[in-house]
Amino acid sequence: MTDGELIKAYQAGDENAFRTLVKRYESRVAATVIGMLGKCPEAEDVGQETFIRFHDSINKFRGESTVGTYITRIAINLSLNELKRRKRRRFLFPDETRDGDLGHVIEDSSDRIDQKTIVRQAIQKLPPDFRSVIVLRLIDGYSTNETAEILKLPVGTVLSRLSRAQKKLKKILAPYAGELT
Amino acid sequence: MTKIERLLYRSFDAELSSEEQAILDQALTQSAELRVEKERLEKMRSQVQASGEKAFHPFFAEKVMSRLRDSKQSVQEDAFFNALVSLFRPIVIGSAILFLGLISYNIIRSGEISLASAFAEPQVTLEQVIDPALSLKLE
Repeated sequence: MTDGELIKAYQAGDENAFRTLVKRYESRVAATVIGMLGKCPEAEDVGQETFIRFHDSINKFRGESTVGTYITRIAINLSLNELKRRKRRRFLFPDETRDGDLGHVIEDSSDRIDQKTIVRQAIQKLPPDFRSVIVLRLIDGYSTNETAEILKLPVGTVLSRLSRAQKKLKKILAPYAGELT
Repeated sequence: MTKIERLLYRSFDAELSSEEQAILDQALTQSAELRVEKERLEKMRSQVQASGEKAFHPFFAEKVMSRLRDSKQSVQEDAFFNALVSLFRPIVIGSAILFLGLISYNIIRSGEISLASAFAEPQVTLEQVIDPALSLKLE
């Protein structure tokens, strides 16, 4: 069944149709949210909230963009909100563990840490604007145009952010070049 | 970032014009350093791609559906409460208007502003309360 047919079936009262949509897009939402927030309990909450928001706006969905793009936009916006909330919390409670600044974890347990974890934590060190383009373009695999559409940015801005983000990421990962074979 | 570096980075995410592509190709042929940079970038991009986590905890879809059912239930409860409020609001307003009307009528009729006249209670004077004849009779 196509996404459009599933939406119509759900609107007609078939609850399983929405469950199918959730299952269909779970991996994409997980990649986006975990890429943005790291693997943490809030990531799953944001993931669930993404689908709740999609559900609440399902009647407004006109199919101007694909369901995938639409859901990813919700996921990225909610993730950016969560990052802002973390920043505010960090400002109010500076002694709390600082999310997104996990360099010490890499340094402390450098003996047995896998490549994926190093890269994932390096992404967490990028500023949110850079992180969002890296997650959408490289992890989710959206084209540059789709990334621009999701973030509502000009393509030129996306390209420039991608270049700067990769440059920064390369710098962050430089000390771990030995582990990243 | 040099112009060539910018072209190299852009070449991964956008289509270069034929002129730009020619400049980049030529630079890549001439510079071993640039070739190394390109390889490093390709490797980093594939590592980032591979680092993506593609699933939440098990039963994610069920958790979403359960949250939706809960929110639907609370919406229904809210709807019931709102229906009650909208049903009783006219009754409460009507009663309040009637009550105020009665109080006003009583005050106007009695010609004095007091709690007793508002509730149309008969005015009892002190003489009536302490009736001398009655008190004598009792004695």
